[in-house]
Formats: sequence, C-alpha cells, structure tokens
Amino acid sequence: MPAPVAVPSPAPPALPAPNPSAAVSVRGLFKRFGDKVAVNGLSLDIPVGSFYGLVGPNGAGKTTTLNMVTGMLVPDAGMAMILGHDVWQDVDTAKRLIGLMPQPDQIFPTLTGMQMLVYSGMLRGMPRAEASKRAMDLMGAFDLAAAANTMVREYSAGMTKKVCLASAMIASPRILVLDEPFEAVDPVSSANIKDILVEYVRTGGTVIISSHVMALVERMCTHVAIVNHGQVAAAGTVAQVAAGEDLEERFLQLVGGRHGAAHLGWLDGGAEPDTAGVAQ
Amino acid sequence: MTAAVKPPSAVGTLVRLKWALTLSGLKTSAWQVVAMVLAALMALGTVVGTVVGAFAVGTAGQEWRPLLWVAMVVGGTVAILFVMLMQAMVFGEGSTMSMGKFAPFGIPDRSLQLGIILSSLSGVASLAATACLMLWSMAYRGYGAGAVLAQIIMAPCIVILTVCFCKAALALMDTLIGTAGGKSVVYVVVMLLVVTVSQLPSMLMNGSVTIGIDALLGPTEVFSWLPLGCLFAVPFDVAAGAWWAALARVAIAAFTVVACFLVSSWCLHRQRRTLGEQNGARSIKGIGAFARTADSPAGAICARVLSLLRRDVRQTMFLLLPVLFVALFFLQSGDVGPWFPFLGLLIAGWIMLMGEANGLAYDGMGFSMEVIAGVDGRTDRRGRVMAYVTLFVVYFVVLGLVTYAVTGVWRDAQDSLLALVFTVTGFSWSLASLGAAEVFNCAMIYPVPSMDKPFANPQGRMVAQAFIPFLFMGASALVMAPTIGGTLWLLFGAGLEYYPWIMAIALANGIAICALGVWLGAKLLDVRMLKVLRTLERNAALQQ
Repeated sequence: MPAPVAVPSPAPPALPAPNPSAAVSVRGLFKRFGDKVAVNGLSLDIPVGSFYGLVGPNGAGKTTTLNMVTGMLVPDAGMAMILGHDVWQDVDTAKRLIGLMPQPDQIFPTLTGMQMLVYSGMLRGMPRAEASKRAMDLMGAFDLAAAANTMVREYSAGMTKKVCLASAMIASPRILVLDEPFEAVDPVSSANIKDILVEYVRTGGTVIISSHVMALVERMCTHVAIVNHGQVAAAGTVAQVAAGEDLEERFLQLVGGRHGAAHLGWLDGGAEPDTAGVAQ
Repeated sequence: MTAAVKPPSAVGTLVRLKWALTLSGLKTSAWQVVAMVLAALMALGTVVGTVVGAFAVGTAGQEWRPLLWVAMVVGGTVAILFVMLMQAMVFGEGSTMSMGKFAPFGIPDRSLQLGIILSSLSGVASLAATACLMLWSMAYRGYGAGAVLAQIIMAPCIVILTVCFCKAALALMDTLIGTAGGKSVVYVVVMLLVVTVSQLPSMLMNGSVTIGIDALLGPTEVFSWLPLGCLFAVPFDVAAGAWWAALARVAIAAFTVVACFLVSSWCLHRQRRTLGEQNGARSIKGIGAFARTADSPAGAICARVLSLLRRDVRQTMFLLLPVLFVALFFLQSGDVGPWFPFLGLLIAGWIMLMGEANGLAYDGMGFSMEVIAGVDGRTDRRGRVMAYVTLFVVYFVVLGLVTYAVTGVWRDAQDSLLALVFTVTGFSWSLASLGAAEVFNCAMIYPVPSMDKPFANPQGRMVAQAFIPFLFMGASALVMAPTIGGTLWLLFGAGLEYYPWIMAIALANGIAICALGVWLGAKLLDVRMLKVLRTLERNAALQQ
C-alpha cells in the first residue's frame, strides 16, 4: 500500500514582525499549486539601496516569490511589505513603488518601442510630455534610438528585453524588480545597462534581480539570497553568503544535487542514430 | 539483451496527440466543457436532421431529381469551399497540430502529413460529417441499391477530399503570403467572402438574384467533373449505369487528394527553407494616437486600444462587417425601399462589439502591463470605452452620411427620417453593447488565434468560439429590451407618428447601459484582475 503523501501546510505564524524600513520585507510567504509547494514559508529582508540578487535552481520558487511580492500573485499565507506598505492590503500603492520588468511576452508587440515606453509611463500616471522625454532618453541609453519608431514585433530578442527593462525604469520607481534582465542582451548594451543600474542604486534605489548567472550576481550585487525548495537557504551580503569561497561553489554546496556524470549507455555520439528506439 | 519492442508509428502518435490536446483543452475552463457538450448536441442534431431530410428527399417524385442533382453537385462543391473559408476565417489550421511544430523531430514528410490528415479525420467534425453523408444515402432510395451503396462508399471519400483540400489551401495561404500585412488582407477578404456567401440564400429567396433550375443543369455538368464536385455525382452515375463515368470521377478525386498531399508537402519544405526570414520592418513616426488622447492613464489605454484596433486584423474585421452588411442590404433594397441599407447601421452596434466582448483575450499577455502598473478596473474600463465611443461617433457619422448619399434616401423626407432613426438607434445599440462587452470581457474569456497567425487556431478553442459569442449576442440584444419595449409601445400604443421618439429612448438606453457596464465591469475586473491574467497566460500557452 502506498504511503500517504503529506501535503505541507502554511508555516506557523511565529515569525518576527516585518521590517517597515526595508525596501522589501517578507514573512512566512507560502504558495501551493495543487499538491506542489512552490514557496514554503519564505522570509527575507531586502535593504533599501541594495543591489539584491535572488538565485536558485529551476523551480526553486524565485519567480513565484517575486510575483507575490510585486502583487502579481496572491499568496496562500504570509505577508509581503514594500517600503512599509503591506502589498496585499493596498496592492496598487505597492505596485506604484515598484518597477517590475515585464517579460517579452507581456508587452504589446504592435506598438513601436517609443509608444511602448510612453504607454508604460502614462499608465503610471506620468504626464505625456514627461513620459515622451524619458522614453527618448531611455531609447538613447539602451542603444534603441534608431529603432524607436519600429514595432516591437520587429525587434530581436535582446532589443525586446531592453525595451522591457526600459519600461520598468521609465517611472523612476523606488524599487526595480528584474527577472533575468541580461538574458539575450549583447555585451555592449549589457555593460551600459549595468552602469545605469549601478548609478540608480547609488542614488538610493533598490534593484532586485533574479538570475542564474552566478558570475553576474557576484560581480554586480551587494546582497544575495539563495532560494531552494521555496525557502531561503542563505541570505546576506555577497561576502557573507560566499563565506570566503567562490559564490558558485557555495551555491552548489547549499543547493546540492550535483553528482558525477551519469552514465547513459545509449547516449553514443559515435553510433548510428537508433531510429527504431529498440533497447539493445 | 532486452526483447525488441515495436516502435509506435508516427501517424498513430499524432492521432493520439490530437485527442490528448483536445481533451486537455477542455480542462482550461468549465466553459470549454459546456461548449463541447453543446457542440456534441449540435452534431447529434445534425445527424438526426440528416436522417429526417434524407427520408423526405428519398420519397420525393421523379420531378425533383434535377433539383437533387444540382443541389448535390453544386451545393457539395460550395459546401467544401465554404468549409475551407470557414476554417480560414474562424477555425484555422490547428496551431498545435501544424506541421511546423513537428519539424525538429525528423518525422518523414509523408508520415507527418498523413498523421496530420488522419488526426483531422478522427475529429468530431469529420466523424459527424462522415455519418451525415452516409445517412444521406437514404435520399437515393428511389435510385436503387447501387446508388445508396455508392453514396455510403463516397461519404468517407468526400470527407477525406475536403480535409486534404482544406489543409493544402490553408498551407498554401500561410506559405505564399509571407508578410503580416498580406496575411491581414487575405484574412479580411476571406471573412468578407464568407459573410457574402452566407447571405446568398437570403438574396436568392427574396428574389434579388433569380436563377432557374434549368439554367443550372449545364454548369452542374461542369461542376460534376471538377475536383470538388465529382464525388457527389458518383451515386447518380451508378444509378444510370454509367460505370466509366463513375470510375473517372473517383480517379479525379483521387488525383486531387494526391495533388493536395503534394502541395501540403511542398509548403512544408518551403516553410522550412524560409524559416526565420525577416520581412521589411514597418516604421511609424511619432507616438501616434498617444499624442491625441487624454493625458492620463485612461487616455493611454484609449490610445493603445485605438492603435491595436488599426493593426490587429482579428479585431478590424468586426468593424468592417457593418459596411459589408450595408452593401448587401443595398443590393437587396430594390423592392423594400432606399432606407433598407440603414438596417446595416442598425445591426452594426450588435456586431461590432463581438471583438471587444473578448477584448482582454485580444490584448493577450500585453494586459499584464496594466496589472504590473497597478491600473484599477475603472481606469481600464474608462480607457476602453473612450476609445470605442470616439470610434463609433466617427464611424456612424461617416457610414451614415455615405449611405445617405449613395442610397438616394434624401429624396424623401419620411425615408430620411427613418434612416436617421436607424442610424441613431444603431449607435445607441453600439453603446449598450459596449456596456455589455465591458462586463463580458472580464468574465468570459476564450482563446483567440495569435495576431501573427490569424489562420491558426489554438487547440480546443473551436467549441468555445462557437458558443460564447452567441451568448454575448443574446446579452447584447437583451440590454436593448427598454428600447424594444418602448418601440412596441410607440408603434402599437401611442401611435405610429411618434416613432422618431425611438431615437431618444434608444439613446437613453444605450448611455445608461454603457455607464452601468463600465461601473460593473470595473468592479468585476478589480476582483478578477489576477484571475484574468492567469486565464490569459493559459490562452497564450495554447497559442504557442
């Protein structure tokens, strides 16, 4: 008889109060999809003015956490606070403090790059003239000036990513939340964007990026949280989390799952393809 | 050594995949299940209707035989063309079961092609059509057992021919029309053609176009030797003992099926060779509508809706339909009066909002931008309504004036007044429909084809597409109940001379329902914003 499967419940509420002075303060965040627990009582404080990296293996719960923090997904339990505002008490106020980068499939591809940015700015209540001026500035800064009047559907993957990033920045939010911001972006643009983000943090802004690229996190971030199985495995400054080691090694230690090369007997690059699918 | 296992055939796998995807499509929403049940009932009804019809036709006398000959051969050909046009317009080449999706797996072209065709043949529509055509054999009872048997054998052949022809025609359309603009134009032409063909029976019945049966016998003979009509003629050949003619027609059909198969394969080859080719990028100066709308979040939404309506052929179509109806009514206005085309303006309000009734689905994942920015339901609804009301004012004034000038309705004061009543009532109906659409589009969302592939339908969308728009049309008519009641009272109670007051009643009705729809839709959207987003995510996955 199969053993009964225990379905985890929300973590008990015996947690310290959220920190209202933090850019983001999360306590006991919990989310379940069917029987799968995506985020399991996650707690985290992200200081104001930090460049915060959220790292973890695939399916660790990073994107689900960011979605719950930014008001895009209702948590089953726990709370999230943005600069002292409870996200789920007043979700629209919280959203106005955040610049969440849309994914390339979350924008309107038949608008031009310029229209996309003006739309993004005006949606956040900016006057049209100011939105247009900032859109021009962003187009120049992201090397998109020549494509400003071209529909986004004609953009390459990297250009689309840049316009998504620009649309998160246009309203000059207090916190920028970026999911894999440098994916598909060319090295030159990438370097320019990094400079812009570093400057933004220097002026008091907070950047939260989710990424799989450890080298990037180690080089750019001031703080990092390693998320695994929907919980924080380690969090703090990059130096604290690395604990004197290479961050990637430390990540592998904390996350586990690394094993020797599995021997797949049938994976033989020198043999004829086994089209019949017959085990020999 | 392990025992040798027979590998599954690619063809069988594709058929199983089609059914797995169809069933999984049903899980996307409860409405899909409701729509599927209704579709099954409709299929059953069609089968029963065919049996009844076939028995009735089978008992008809000799004098009806020329009519049956014309109806089967010409009607059959038109029906196959209509199925193809309907597929192009509404159902499309299944995007999930499209051949391009299987390109990376190295399945031999013939197996892939065969698998796709068989998966179509195993669908509910094909099975119902085969059953109907087989049962139609009862109509040939008077022609002898041979004709009945011939029709039973021809039934699956006709369905195979139809499926192969539709696949080839759609693949050819998709392959040869490379640019998005070209595809949009073809989409519009196909849609207008379907609507015009649908109106033909009405035009024939009311006498605006008259054709005698004798005049059709000659063309029918020609049709009976053409690829799409030949199989419908076989039972008549068998009845007449014209065996060579029957064999020749079957050979023509077989040749057509093979040719369609080869055309589809050629399209597959060509699509692979041209995959990823870029067409010329389109440039738009300035910020377009964003420069002209209100300087507010609602104004931004209004500008975005207007920009998308211009560039999204799936929605532009709904705005072109009333123009077509005005033209069709104009052709039929001879015996009725010059005011008749204004009926097109009256029902414009009923038709034009079909797109907006599923507007959030047409926005697709782009709607996320509003959710990310924390836009509330009221701002969204106000922006959308601003866009449509602006559009409607211009639309009704321009179309009304053009119709007024072309029809010559200005020659008579009474006709002019009637035309004005129709135009104002149509505008009011569009406002009321807009109100209904603003509630509908955040409560009943069904998947739509992607903008890039208007000919490709998301798997499992067909049943929902067939059901929900009718529900909206019902609701849209219902919200005009005060106007209908008022009209009846004016016509039969107060007196015919008061009928211009219908305009005032309709306008008040339209404005009130529009305001109510914005208010209710905003409340509903505020509550359902994240649920809507999840639904759009699921729909986007179906378009992949």
